[in-house]
Order: sequence, then structure tokens, then C-alpha cells
Amino acid sequence: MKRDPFDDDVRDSRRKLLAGLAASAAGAMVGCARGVAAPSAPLVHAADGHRRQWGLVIDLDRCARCAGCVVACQQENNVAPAGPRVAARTRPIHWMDFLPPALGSFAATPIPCMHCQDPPCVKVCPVGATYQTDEGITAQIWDRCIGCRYCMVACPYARRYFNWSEPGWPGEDPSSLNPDVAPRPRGVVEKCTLCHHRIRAALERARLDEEPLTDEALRRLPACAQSCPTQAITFGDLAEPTSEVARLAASPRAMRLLPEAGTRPKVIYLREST
Amino acid sequence: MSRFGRRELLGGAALAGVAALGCRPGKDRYRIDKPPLPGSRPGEERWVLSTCALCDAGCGIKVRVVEGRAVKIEGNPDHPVNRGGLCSRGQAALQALYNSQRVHSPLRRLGDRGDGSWKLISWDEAIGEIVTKLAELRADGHPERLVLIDGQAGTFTHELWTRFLSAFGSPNHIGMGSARAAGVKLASLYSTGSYGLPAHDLARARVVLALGAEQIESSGQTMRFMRAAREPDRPRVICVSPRRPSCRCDEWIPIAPGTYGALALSLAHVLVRDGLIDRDFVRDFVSGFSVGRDRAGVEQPGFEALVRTGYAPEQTQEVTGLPAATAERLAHELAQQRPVVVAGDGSATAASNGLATGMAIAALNALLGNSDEGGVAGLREFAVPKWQAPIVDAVAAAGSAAPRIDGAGTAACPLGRGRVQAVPAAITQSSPYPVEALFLHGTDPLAALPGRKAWHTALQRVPFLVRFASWLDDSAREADLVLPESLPLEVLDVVQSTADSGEPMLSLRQPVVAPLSGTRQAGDVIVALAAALGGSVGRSLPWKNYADAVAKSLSAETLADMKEKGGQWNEAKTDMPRPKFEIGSQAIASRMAGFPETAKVAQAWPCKGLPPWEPPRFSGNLQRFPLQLVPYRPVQFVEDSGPFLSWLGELPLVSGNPWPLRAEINPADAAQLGVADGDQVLVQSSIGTCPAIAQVSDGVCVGAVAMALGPGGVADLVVSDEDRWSGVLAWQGTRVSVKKTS
Repeated sequence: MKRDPFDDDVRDSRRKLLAGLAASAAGAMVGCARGVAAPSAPLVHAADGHRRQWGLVIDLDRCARCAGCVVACQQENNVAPAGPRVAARTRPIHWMDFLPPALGSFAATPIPCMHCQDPPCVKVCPVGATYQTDEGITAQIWDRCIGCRYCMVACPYARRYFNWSEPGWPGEDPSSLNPDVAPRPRGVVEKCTLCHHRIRAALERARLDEEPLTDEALRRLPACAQSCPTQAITFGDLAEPTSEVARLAASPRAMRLLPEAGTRPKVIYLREST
Repeated sequence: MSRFGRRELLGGAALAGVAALGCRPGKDRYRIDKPPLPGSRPGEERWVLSTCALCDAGCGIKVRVVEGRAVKIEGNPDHPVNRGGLCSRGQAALQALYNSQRVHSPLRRLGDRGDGSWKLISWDEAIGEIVTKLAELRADGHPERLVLIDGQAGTFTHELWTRFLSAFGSPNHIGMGSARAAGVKLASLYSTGSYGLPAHDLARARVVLALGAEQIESSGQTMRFMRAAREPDRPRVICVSPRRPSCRCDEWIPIAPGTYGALALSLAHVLVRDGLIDRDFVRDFVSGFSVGRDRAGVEQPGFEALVRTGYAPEQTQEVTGLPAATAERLAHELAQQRPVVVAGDGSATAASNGLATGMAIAALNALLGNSDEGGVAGLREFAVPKWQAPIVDAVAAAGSAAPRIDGAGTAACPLGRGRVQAVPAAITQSSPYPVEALFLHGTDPLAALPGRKAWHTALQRVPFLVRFASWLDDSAREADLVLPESLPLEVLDVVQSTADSGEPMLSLRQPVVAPLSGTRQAGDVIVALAAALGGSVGRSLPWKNYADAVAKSLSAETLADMKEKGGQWNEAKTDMPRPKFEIGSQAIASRMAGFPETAKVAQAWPCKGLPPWEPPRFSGNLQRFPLQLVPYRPVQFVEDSGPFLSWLGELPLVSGNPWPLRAEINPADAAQLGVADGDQVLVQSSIGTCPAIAQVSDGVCVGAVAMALGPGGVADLVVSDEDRWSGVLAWQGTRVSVKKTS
């Protein structure tokens, strides 16, 4: 199999995990191996027992720059509009954003949280409000955040946003808020969750249906990937060698943003040309 | 509270208003655990299939409804138009649905027009008032004095309006086509015999030459085809337009506004000169190419002679601003890379030479033999609902025989199907007859069309103005009666989607959520009006409501199937009839011959049945207004949107602050004017001004200023000019000046 230049550490962790199969996770894994969905089976592990590492691959050649992903994300995650006053003083909150053309060397660069394997934001949080989940998602606990914004300074990709005001949808009856995602209050930092709630729901559904979660069912799972008219965004398990994201990540076009920052993002871009 | 002042009173009123809308004020306003709406169980969640209404493409959508509330719009993965993807505009429909400014009761005007004081009336009263007026018109024998401006096309509701008006007796069902893509549709009609956007087989084309950027940047469908694979599995997309499209293409070639026709003819010149045309196709399927004889035996020069003598790239480069070498390269690329598509859009034909431009583009496709796989795939025809013919009594027959007020079908517009921009003058001058009642449905002409002052005067003149509206927009403020219309996510309708396979297909729009209380869909109102009018009109629309009318046209199985799938289409691609091209159109020739004054002009045309291409006409003095205005519809543009949709308004497509309107200007022009990026400027045309922020960018051609249509007021700058023959509105025909203000 072609070696994936980006996936060393993911593979490493998987090897370690498999090697140390012994104690705690074993029971659940035996259950999985028999095809029985034990109610207590930790959902982070795939059927073969490896620890899932969620990631995105964004094909810059396919992206048409329609910004469908931006609105899909705002709608799914109850991201409030900034309004002209806030927009003039800072930037509107876009978990999925576009790099200004002047900054990127590409015609279009959709940019969500990079979900780094070595996230600098996590290290600086004084209260443990941001952490890395077992599945590799850089998560943020809104209720724990004290709004110091150290993480915003630490993030080399500027993928974190501070709520300068209470979220509001002026002129709108807030019926269309997604009941699965709480709006964030004033004074906390917020960021992309990789549509964590959608992942949970899909895993839970697969468990209840007692059917394995296929890579195909995962590819368009986050709201941004779902909405993309050109299917430029692919989601999946980078630690699963047969998954579409792992296959794409091994492409000669694959690259990461700011590799020199040493953050090892799990959002992998495919260059426009080889 | 020691004192109960004005502020408290207003605050209290606002709170009461919010409470009346059914949501709690204050911090709890954005709680996500709301009680289920009546009629839904706690925790109930479903996905409802429907059809997007934010543009004419008709993408399939599925909407997540939780406890009776719509919370997310996604694309329908099975729908042939979009296959699961959805652009930002389509998703923003949700924001419009839950806008708190929606009108939720019929309103009758109190006081003067535009005063903004209204009386809430019941639907029965509203229908009663309209019917009294309409019955009066029929009793006087002047049903033609009812005019409908209908912004919707390609739906069964549109067909129902047509039916209502023919039974009632008015020819004045005026669409917005001339302000949209009528130039392309008419060119398709006259060259291939079918009125509609040509279906392009983008999935199989190797090169797409997009003349006009609109088709690239504001259609999710074209995006999917153009970028859904990597080269060489997808077409190479070359966009020619004055402004670089905000969506991606492989190559952008700037061109002077309104000169696409000259480019198409120069490409044809190179193809003919170098022997690159598809000879077999031209021989078998194209008429009017070479010299021929008409019925009287007189020799007629063909298209070949026309393009050979003029239109060499060296000659046209002065006009188009596109170097001759580029045109040569383009022509050779098109000839070598077949199958290819040359696609013009509404912005390419929105000039005083609109139809000639559309015909030149069609002729170029004919020479390349683009009528098969990977080319112009077929002809889109609307599947007309299967209703019995309406009953037309003597009054209706006489009324329908009257000329249309916009001059369609007369010498004023011999080749067009309508010119909505002519309506204000017709109303103000009572020519050819006075307009007694005007219905506005699906469009706000004050905001969507140029000539705001003329429209304003005209609307003041109409004795009875009815606006079907979801918001109190500009034209609703002028109306006598405002009828609150349900939004597309709340109604049942059948929509003609424009699938690029060319297959006729229907999509279903079904109620995703219950309509906002007090609103009704236009279809139901039409049926109610007909029932209240009675007589032959009532018998022509004999249904209980609109859903009944739809059910009478489609079988129960079909409807059930459509509810299941989201529409009706044929997955297996059948062989579409290979279109034949008429470069010199018989239809144009005979239509022009129908009027004495136009017959003479048509006789002088070098190619019979082909309007000669002329450089575009621009309004505004060249010295005072040196720059050409390029208004464009960005992906954020929603016609008839009503409120500002912040999801679209805050899109990060342009760097920095997304809110204010921008005037994009070439660095060369900016240097000459002393304008720097980010400066506040005033853009001025001969009829209006519009403040904007300058954006100096090499994405716009020299001599042009590109500005986005929408809430910024760019339409106020545009002078209402049109194509003499087709009545196509010349959106791209205004000169402006740009001055720094800070």
C-alpha cells in the first residue's frame, strides 16, 4: 500500500492501541468483533478496534467558491450573524470561512478549524475549556471558557472566534435554530466542532440499527461536506487505511496549511495541480 | 416604575409584539428547547422533500423539520439538477421563512399612498373588494384593463394565472423575462424553435465557453457539472465577461460590456476562414449558412458571406477589447476540443443588441455542430398542466384581443414576448388604454427594475393596485391592498426544473411547515377569486383550492411518487431530438414582415432573418460619465427577497468587511481617478447616484465599474433602455462616473 506521508502519527497511535489491546477496551471490542452492538461499546472505536481519527480533505481544484458550506455551517451550528456594527470592528463568526484571495495562493481556500493533531490552542487554555477528544476533534466546552482568548492568539490559522455580544438574530423569529446545538453566550470563544453532534447521531443510529458505519455513509456527514455542490469536501476516518479521506490524503496533491507551525492538521488540502 | 414615559410604552409595545409572534422575549429568546408546535409530537423529526425557489434552476431540497419547525435545508441527493449539493442562496430560504417582518393579514391602505397606515382586514373582505373591482371591469366590457406583472415562471401557479386571465379576458400577463434571460430564450426560439434556456450537456462537454459570468456564479447546477471532477474528466471552463466571476472558472478573459456578439462573430469568422466548421452538421441541420434563394427566387447572402467580409478578430478587437490572438486561440480550441458548449447568459444579452448577440452565439454553436452529446443537449419544454381549456365568453374574447399594454406582439416589440419595462409609460400615458387594476405577484418592480421614478409615478396612477407580498416591500407600500403570500417552503406547487440533461422534468414543492397563519398561497387566491367572480371564469377554474387543481392535473400515483422522490424524472437518458439550427430565422423574417415599418428595416438586413449585430448603445454622456456600469447578480442576490438575509450578506467572498456595497474598478482607472482601495466613492449616472466603497481590482476590465445588484441601490443607476427588436432590457447599457468622497 502506498505510504501516507501525513499519517505517521495516526498510524502510530493505532499500532500502539492494537498492541495494547489488553485491558479496558477489550470487552467492548470482543462485542464488536462478534457483530453484537453492546450498549456500552465506546463509539470512538471502529469495528476492528482502532481509534477513529476524524479528518477532512478539501479539494481546492473542485471548490467553486460558492460558499454553500459557509451558510450550511451557520445554519447547522446556530452561528449568529455579526451585524454591520460588529462586522465593521472585528470579523463575523464563520466556523467555515474563506481565506481572502490576497492571503491564499489559491483561487479559493475554504478554511474550517484544522483539528490539529498537536493543537496549540489546547496547550494555552488556563481552564481546560478546550481539549482534544479521543477521536481527534479539537473541542471547546463553552460553559468552561472564561473568555481570556489565549487560544485565539495561539491558533496560527485564526480559526477561533470570540463572542463580543450575546448571539442575536435580529428581525428573525428564532424558530430555525437547530435544537441539537446550543448558541454560545457572550464572552466565550467558539469554533468548529467538525459537526460533532452529527457524528454522534450517525454513530448512535448505526449502533441502534446494528449496522456497521460505512465510510460511504460518513463522507458527506458534516454540514459543509453535505452542502458542497461539487463534493470538494470529504469527511472520514484518517486512521482507516481504506477510507476515502485516507486515500485522498495519500494523493501527491495533498498538503497542509502552515506545515512549519508543527501543528499537524487533520484538515488536508488537495492542491489545484500536481 | 415612578414614571411611565413614551420609551416604556414603546418598549412595552415591542415586547407585546414579540409575544404575539409566539416567542418569549429576553435572554430565553434563543433557547433551543422550545415546546413542540401544535400538531407535532415531542421529539418528532422528519425530512421533507421540496424544491428550492431562490432561482429558476429548481434544485431539489430536503428540509429537516423538528417538532414542526424547519431547522435545516439540504440538497436532495437524488434530484437530477443538484444531486445533493446546495448553494448558499438556496440554504438562506430558511432565514426568509422565519423573518419576523412577514405580513400576516390582508391589509387595506388608509390615507395616502406610501403613508404606511394600514387597516387589517379579513381574507373574505379582501377577496370581496378585488372581485367587486374585477366584476366592474367585466361589466364595462374592459377586462383588458386588468394587468398582472408576474415574477414567477415555470410553475403551475404561473399557468393558473394564464388560465385565469384568458377566462377573465385580459391579454396582460406580463412576465419579468425581458429583465432576465429573455435574450437567450428568444435566440433559442428563433434558431431552434423552442422558447427556453438551451439545455447544455455540461457533464460531457470538453470545453465550456461561458459568455457572461452570471451562469457560472449563480447556479449550483452549473457549478456541479463544471467542477465535480478533475480535468480531463470535467470541461475546461473559459469565462468571458467584463468582471471575473466570484465563482471559479479555469480561465477568465475580460471583454467590454455588451460586445459578446462581436466576439461570437469573430470566432465564427476564424472557423469559416480556417475551414474548422462541422461541415456535415452544417449541411444537414443548419439553414441560412451559405448563399441561398428565397421563395421568390431572389439570391440571399448567407451567414458565411457576412462573417467572412467583416468580423475578423483584428476588426473586432477594437470593440471587444479582446486581443485578436486570444480570439484566434479560442476559436481553434473550440474546434479541436469538441464536444464543446458556447453558452450565453442573461447578462450577455442584456444590451441594446441583445437578440443579435443571442443569435450570434446560437450560430456559433451551429457551426461547431454542438447539438449532440456534450453540446446543446436538447430543448426544454414546459409540461403544461392537463386541465381542460378555459371557457372564454364574448367579453373575455374581446378583451383578450386587445393589444398588450407593454407592446408585445406589436411593431414596438416585433420579436419579443414582453417588455415589462414599458409598463410605466403605458400606465402614465394611458396608452393604448387606461389601466384600471394592477396585480403585482412575485416581483417588486420598484426594487427589481430600473427606472424607479417612472415606476413610482405609474404605480401612483393605477386606481387599484394589489400586491401579493410576504413583506411590506417598496411596491407593497404603494398598494391599495396587500395580500400576504405564503412562502415557497409553506406551499404545494409543481415546478419545471431546468435539468441540464434537457429532459422535461417536474419537481414538487410541498409544504414543509404549516403556512404562517393569515397567509395564503397565490394559487389559492386565484381559485377563490374565480369562484367569487362566478360565471365562465368560475367554471374555468372549478376547483376547491390550488391543491385540488394540481391533483386534477396529475394522477394520484404520480403525485404520491413525486412526494416520495421530490419530483418526476426519467433516470435513463433518452435520445433527445437533435435540434436543427436556423441561422437566418424564418420566424424572424415573417414576424418582421408583419408590420410595415419593420418590414422595411428587415429588408435591409445583410442576412435575411438575422438581426445585424451592432455595438451596444450606452446611456450617458461620454465626457461626464466615462465608465461603463456592469451590474451583476452575485450568488447572494435574491430577487424579490424582501428582507436582508444576513447569512448571504455576511458571506466572506470578499475580504474584509462584508456589509457595504462595493464598486469594483480596474487599477488603471483607479489611478486616473485618484481612487484608492477602500475609499468612499459616489457612483453617478445620468439618472441617479449610489454611494459605495471602492475596490480596486484587476478582476474587472478597464473602463468598467462592476457593482452587485441587491439591497445597495445599484438599480437606481441603471437607465431603462432596451433592444429595439426583442424588447430585452439593456441592463448593461449605462455610463457612470466615479468620484471620491472621502
